[in-house]
Amino acid sequence: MLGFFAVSCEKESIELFDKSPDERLTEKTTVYYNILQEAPNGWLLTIETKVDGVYRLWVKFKPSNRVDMLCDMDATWNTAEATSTEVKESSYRVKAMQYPSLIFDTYNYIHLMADPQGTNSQYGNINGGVNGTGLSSDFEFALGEYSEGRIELKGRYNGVTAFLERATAAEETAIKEGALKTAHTKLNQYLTGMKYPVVEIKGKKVDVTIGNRSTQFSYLLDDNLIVSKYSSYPDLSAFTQGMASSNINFVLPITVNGAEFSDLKFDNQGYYLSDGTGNKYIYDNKKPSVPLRFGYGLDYTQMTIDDTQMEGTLKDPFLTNVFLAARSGLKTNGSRHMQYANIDFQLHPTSGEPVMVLVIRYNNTAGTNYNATWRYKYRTEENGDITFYEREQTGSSNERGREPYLRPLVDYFCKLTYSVYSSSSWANTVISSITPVTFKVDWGENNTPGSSASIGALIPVNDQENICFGILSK
Amino acid sequence: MICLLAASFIVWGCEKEELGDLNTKILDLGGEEIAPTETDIWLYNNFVKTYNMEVKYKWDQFELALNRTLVPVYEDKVIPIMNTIKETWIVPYEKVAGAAFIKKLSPKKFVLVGSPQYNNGTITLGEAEGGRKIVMYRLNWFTRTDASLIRAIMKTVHHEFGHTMHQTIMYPEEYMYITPAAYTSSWNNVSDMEAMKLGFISSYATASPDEDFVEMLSRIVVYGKEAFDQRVAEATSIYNNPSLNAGMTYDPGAALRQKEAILVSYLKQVWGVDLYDPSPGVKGLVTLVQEAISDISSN
Repeated sequence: MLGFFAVSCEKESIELFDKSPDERLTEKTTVYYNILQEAPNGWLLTIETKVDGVYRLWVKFKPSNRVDMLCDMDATWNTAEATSTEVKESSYRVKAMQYPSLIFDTYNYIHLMADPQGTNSQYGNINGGVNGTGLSSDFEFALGEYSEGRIELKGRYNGVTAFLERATAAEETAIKEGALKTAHTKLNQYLTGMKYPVVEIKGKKVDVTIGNRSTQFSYLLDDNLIVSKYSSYPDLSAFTQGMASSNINFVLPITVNGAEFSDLKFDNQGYYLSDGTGNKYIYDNKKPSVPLRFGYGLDYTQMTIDDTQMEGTLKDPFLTNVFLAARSGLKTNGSRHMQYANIDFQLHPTSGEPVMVLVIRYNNTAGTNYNATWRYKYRTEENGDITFYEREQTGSSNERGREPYLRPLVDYFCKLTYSVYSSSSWANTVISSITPVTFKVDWGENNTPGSSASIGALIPVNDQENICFGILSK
Repeated sequence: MICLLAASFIVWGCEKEELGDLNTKILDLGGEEIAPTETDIWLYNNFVKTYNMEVKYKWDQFELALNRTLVPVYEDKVIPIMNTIKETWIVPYEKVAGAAFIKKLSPKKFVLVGSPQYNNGTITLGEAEGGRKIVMYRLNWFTRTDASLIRAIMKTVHHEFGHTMHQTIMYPEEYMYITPAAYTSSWNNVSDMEAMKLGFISSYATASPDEDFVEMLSRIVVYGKEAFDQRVAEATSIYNNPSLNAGMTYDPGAALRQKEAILVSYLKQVWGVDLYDPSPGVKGLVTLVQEAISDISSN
C-alpha cells in the first residue's frame, strides 16, 4: 500500500481532454439546445408507451427553455383538453445527468400519458390507463445522437422507446390544422368499410387489425394461433401526399410469418406490405381467416338467429324453409309470433355434460313473451364438425305445446319422429326415430348494413346450401 | 495499517498540484443557466427574497420517491397555489406572532407535484422531511374556488409546520399521557369513528403523540373551531350513551379538551401565538386562517 501511494504521487498529470468535465457537459447541452431549437417547423415526438402503444406529439423548442406542444391523445381518449388543436406552452430543459437528458419539467400534453391518474373517477380519468402508473410513459429522456433529422430517446423512468423527427413545413401546416388527430380519424374512416382485413404473407392468410396505436397480426401455424401485436401509428402522409389515409409505421421493423417489414404503405388501392415476393394488399376477407372456435368453453358459446338484426346476412333456403317456415307454423297456433332463436352451449343441469340449448322466443297476441327450450346432445367429430344426435324437451308446456308448429327449426339441428306425442308430458312421449345432423362450423359473412357483429355459420354437411347464420356472442 | 496508510497519504499528499479555478460554476449547483419566467420572478420576490424559501415546481425526480409514478404541476397553477399558501399560512402567523416568526421556523423548500402519490389503496397529498422540505401532491386539481381542496392542501402545510414548532421546542410531556394507550403504528386501520371514541381528532392522530399534536393544530386551524367543538360534543354523547359506549373507559370529549388546552397554552407561552381570539375584536390564528380561506375561495 505504501508503494502505491508513493508511485501515485509521482504520476504526471495527463490531460485526456482539453477541457474540464463540466465544460464539456455544458458544451454538450448547448449543442443539443441548438439542435432542438434549430428546427424551424418543430419536431414530431413519437412515444411508445408501455400500456397503450404509440402516442405522437408535435413539439416546438423555443429559446429560454420554452416549448409549444400538440398531441394526438384526443383522437382516442375523451380528455379534458383539445390536445390536437390547442397549442400549449410549458418549460423544458436539457440537463447533463448520466447522459444528456431532455426533461419536460412542467405539465403539458406529454404528461397526460405518464400521469398516474388512470381511470379513477374520484381522482381523474386522465388517460384510461392503470391507477398509480397511467400508461407507463415518460417525460424525461436520455438523448441519443442527432442524425439525419432524427434523435433517438430513451425514457428515464419507464424506459419507453421514443424518437424525435424534424417536422417539415407541410407537416407543421397539417398539424396546426389538427392532423395529429385527423390522421386517426381518416384511418378509422377507411377501416369502417373493411370488416375483416386480411393480407396474404408468403401465401398464408393473416388477419390484420390496424388500430390507432398498435396493429395486430394473427394466423394459424400448425394449428396454433399466432397472435402478435406491435406498436404502430399513422404518420402524416395522408396530408402531405393527399391520400385518403396515412401510412402505418411500426416503432421497430417487425417479422410476420417470416416476412420483415417496417410499415404498411397506403396508395389508391389501400394498405399493402412487401413480403419479398411483391406488394401484398390488405383486403376485406368478409370474415376472419382463422377458424371459428364455437362450442362449450370455446371463444364463442352462443349464436342468435334473428332476422330483424340480420337482414342480408340470413340466406335462403334456410331463411324461408326453416326460419320463416317455423314462424308461419307458430302463427297457426293461436297467432303466436316467433321472434328469434338462440343457441347456447352449456352444461346439462343433471348430467353435467355439455349440450346445445335451443331457445325459441315467441309472444302471444297479448304481447307476453315466452321461451320454448330444447337440449341437444352433441359430439365433436375428428375434423371439428359437430353432430347433434339426440334432443329433449326441458319440461315446460311451452315446448310441449309449441313443438308441433316449430318443427322446421327444431328438427333442423336433429330430427325426431314420435310414435306417441304427449302434449302433457315429455316422459310420456315415445320417440320412434332420430336423425342426427352433422354441421361444419365456420365464420359467416356479415352483409347487414350498419352491423359489426361477428357472424357464425352452421353448415349441414349433407345439405351445404342450407346454412344457419347467427350473431355470435361469448 | 490504517495509521500507516494515513501517514503515507499525508507525506506524499503535499506534493499535489494546485487546484484549478475554484470559481468555475458546477453543473447542477447553479451552473445551468435557465431563463427565469414570470413565475420564477414572482416566487423569487414572494418566497426566496422575503422568507428564504425555495419553491421547486419544475420537475426534479430526485426530490421525490424514486419508485412512484408522478408528474409535474401545471405552470399556471404555481402562483395561485403559492399565493394561497402565503395568504392562509404565512400571513396569519405573521399577524399573530410577528414577521420574524415564520422566517425563523419556516421550511426551506416547497416541492410541488401535479398528481397524487399512489400507495397501496391510498393516496398521499403531502409529506415533509424533518421540517426542512414540504412536498405537496395533486396540485393540478387546484382551483381557487374549491375551498375543500384548499383546506386539504393547507392541512398538510399547517401539519408539517406544527412539526417544525415542536421539534424546535417540545410541547409539555403531559400531552403524551392523556390517551397513552391508544397510539398505534397501524393507524391506517383505525376508522375516524374509532379514533373519535378514543379521544382523537383524526385517524392519523393515533399514529403517535407528535402526529396527534400537529393534527390537533392543523385541523382546528384549517377546519375551524366549530367543527372541533362538534366532534368533542359527539364524542361525549357517545360516551354517555349506554347503547354505544361499550368498552369505553374515559370520556373522549374530555380528552380532546385536555389536548386542546395544552395546545392553546403551548402556542401562547412558547411562541406567543393566540390560537383563538384573545379578546373581542382581536383575531387569533384560527379566525385569520378561516377568513383567508373564505376570502380566497369566494373571489
